[in-house]
Amino acid sequence: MISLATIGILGLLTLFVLLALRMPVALSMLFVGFTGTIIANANKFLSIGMDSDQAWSRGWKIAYSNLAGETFEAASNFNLLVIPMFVLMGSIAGASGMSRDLFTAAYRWMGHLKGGLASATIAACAGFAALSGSSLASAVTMGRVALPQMKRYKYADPLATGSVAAGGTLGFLIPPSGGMIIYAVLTEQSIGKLFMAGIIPGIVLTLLFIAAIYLVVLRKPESGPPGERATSSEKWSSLLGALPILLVVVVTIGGMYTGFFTPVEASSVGAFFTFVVALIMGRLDLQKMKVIILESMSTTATVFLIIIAAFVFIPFMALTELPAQLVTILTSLPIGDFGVLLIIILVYLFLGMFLEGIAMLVLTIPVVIPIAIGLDWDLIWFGIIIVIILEMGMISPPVGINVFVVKSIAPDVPMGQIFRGIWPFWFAMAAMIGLLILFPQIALFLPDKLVGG
Amino acid sequence: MPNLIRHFDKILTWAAIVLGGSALAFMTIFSVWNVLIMRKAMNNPITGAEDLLLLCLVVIVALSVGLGSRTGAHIEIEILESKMSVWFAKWSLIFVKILGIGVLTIMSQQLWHAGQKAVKFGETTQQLLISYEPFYYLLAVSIAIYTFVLLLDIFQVLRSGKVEKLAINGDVL
Repeated sequence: MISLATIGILGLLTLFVLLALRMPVALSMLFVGFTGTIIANANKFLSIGMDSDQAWSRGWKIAYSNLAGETFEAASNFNLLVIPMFVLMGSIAGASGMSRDLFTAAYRWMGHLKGGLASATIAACAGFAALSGSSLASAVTMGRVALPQMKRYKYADPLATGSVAAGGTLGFLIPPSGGMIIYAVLTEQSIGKLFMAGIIPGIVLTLLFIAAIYLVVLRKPESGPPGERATSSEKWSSLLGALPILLVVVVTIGGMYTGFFTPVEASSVGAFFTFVVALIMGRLDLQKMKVIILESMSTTATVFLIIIAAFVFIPFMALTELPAQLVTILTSLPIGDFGVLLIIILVYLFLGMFLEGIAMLVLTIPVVIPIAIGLDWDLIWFGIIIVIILEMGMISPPVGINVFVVKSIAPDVPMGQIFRGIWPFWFAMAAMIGLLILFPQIALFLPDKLVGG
Repeated sequence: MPNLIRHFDKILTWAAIVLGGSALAFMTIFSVWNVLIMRKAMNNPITGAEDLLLLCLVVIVALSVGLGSRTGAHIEIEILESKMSVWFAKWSLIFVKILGIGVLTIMSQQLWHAGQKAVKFGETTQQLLISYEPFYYLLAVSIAIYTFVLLLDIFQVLRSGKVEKLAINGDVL
């Protein structure tokens, strides 16, 4: 008979082997969660002296029941209604070319400055992030619009591609954020509070990105030459073009922040108004509608299967008591809360080099959250830190997924140059984490103020 | 077999567009109607609205999992693939797909089984008391479709060494 902790460690090892062999993340978690539940339960019953046949039979029975029960629970979780709705909203915004309107507005106002095009890209990414919860969608849609412009004005490739890759990650932090929804559901936190907590860090990080661009062009002015100065009327007309999008954001996110809508209601209202705006602007046709539906369905599949798998995997991890033991070990180390947080951040940064963001989130939550609870950290604040670290992973070599996306849009730019361009933004994110550790109120002010903690 | 895959893709795509699109449209419009008109304007929310939205969500999840299995929506980590020999890459992929078929077959069978017991255990929505039974079946079928896709994947790997996924912007539209 082996101990539960050993079963947990073996389960984690198996999981990593399966992931390395390219088994989809959700299937790997389902497989390990299901088989692990059988073995762990059988062991538990054997340890109290139950007959072997009976112990294994009970182990199977519990695992069967978990598999069906947790799957249906995840698929019928009312809070998760926000996923298809916000995904639909982002798909409509992307397919209807709203990203172009945002970029045009930001470009007309900032394009004449040194590095202004790159800054405009970041600002437009932040605006698009308020419509879309996906960093990939933000990077793809904004990259297609901004990269040709930056090429035209002879921007250095690292700065141009780096700003798109990094700007795209804002989609993961600025609400509505897919990562935050998953974090909220798996840690039983309020989606609304997390969304609110993401808004100030999202704005601060946008400003830090723009500051990073400023520092780059200060050192190398030729990397971001100024564009043409727009006339006053051009500036205001571009703002008028972006106004419907801003209205959708204000109605959706504003409605949620003021308590007029719940996050679930806000997601439906947001999808509806984005559709209406796109329709009025004449940006939708039958072909685009088909793509929007298929994209929404496909992204919904990605997120839901992973959540279903997490619902099966997390009880197995809890059963092994591995997270609890890890909490005991870490809290007994003479390094204090900050030391533990630093270890967690470093582990995440390391994993971020190899794992995709959402996958890393669901894989690590069963282990990391008990530590955060054990140390009495605010889980909303911790969630924002985790989301930013995951963003860093999205642009970290060798598997920064946003970098690959940018590479697919700019195939002539070598990978090394793109990765060279992301470092200023990577350090801006590190600075953001530092700020959040020093001043947790950056994240907690809005949720505390608007919903009374 | 490539013809079978093409027909299968067409069915999946059109089911997603027609049924998924209808479900998404219903969810959006019904929710907005209930929130803005019935609740906020008329102070008379629709009874059982949450039940209907919840069941609609199950339908969307069921339809999307099948489609996602063909569009490559289920995240894989491919970092070590370039370090593998062609032989190892091929057979390890087949191995993990067989494991996947195993666990998904059990999952599908268990969901079906749970559906059969749903009435007996009184599993219904809270307000309208709609039985979950057909929705369990729907999820079971959806997982069975994913299992079938994994079988098709194995066939493709054996035939050409790689899996051709369904492109959302592709000809099938």
